[in-house]
Amino acid sequence: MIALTPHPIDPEAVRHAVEDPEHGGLTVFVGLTRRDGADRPVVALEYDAYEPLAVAELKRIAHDAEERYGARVAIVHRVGRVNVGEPSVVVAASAPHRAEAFAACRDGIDRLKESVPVWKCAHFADGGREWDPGAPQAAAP
Amino acid sequence: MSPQPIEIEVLLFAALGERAGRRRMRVSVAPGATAADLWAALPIDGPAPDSLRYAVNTDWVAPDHRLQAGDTVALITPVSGG
Repeated sequence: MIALTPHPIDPEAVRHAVEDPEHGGLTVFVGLTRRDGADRPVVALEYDAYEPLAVAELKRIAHDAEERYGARVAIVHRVGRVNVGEPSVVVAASAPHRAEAFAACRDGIDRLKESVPVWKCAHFADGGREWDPGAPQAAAP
Repeated sequence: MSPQPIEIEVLLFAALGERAGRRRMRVSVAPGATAADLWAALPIDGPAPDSLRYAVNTDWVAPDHRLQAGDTVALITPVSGG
């Protein structure tokens, strides 16, 4: 399961997608929209994406996790508006043993944040909005 | 006679799309133009942002990638998903 969706994500469904009778370890990372401090509270994040390339990159991440860790990885990311407290991304990874499941899950979210063409815009309680400038990125692979 | 310009479809996202006022536009560039040459053809003031990356259709390309007529090129600013 690799997807971008404008609808709420059910982490249980993402977990279910990586179940495997040969896999004894399964980890799920849920990234939630957060208020981000009292100074200028955030009420929601709005995600934009270049969907065909984002999906291709997410598939590459899942494929690499399978090669490197023998893991099954599922990733679902929201697009559009996500209110504080809702999941914006869910990464699930299963592997024969826990070390590989943890590593594949962590790699998945780390690589997503580095390379997948998705952008967030914070909507503040004061009515303002601001695009996240992102982190400097590596050269194109 | 000078060579005919080629037409490229450009995709812009997030803050860049808002700066341009559009997320998709057609621009003309000289034959042999590279991905990095597209910036000058866009209706956006100022220098290209740092760390801009390019995808032709859905493949990443280097800034010096030569464009072909009919290419769709996405300009990818630093990402901030998750």
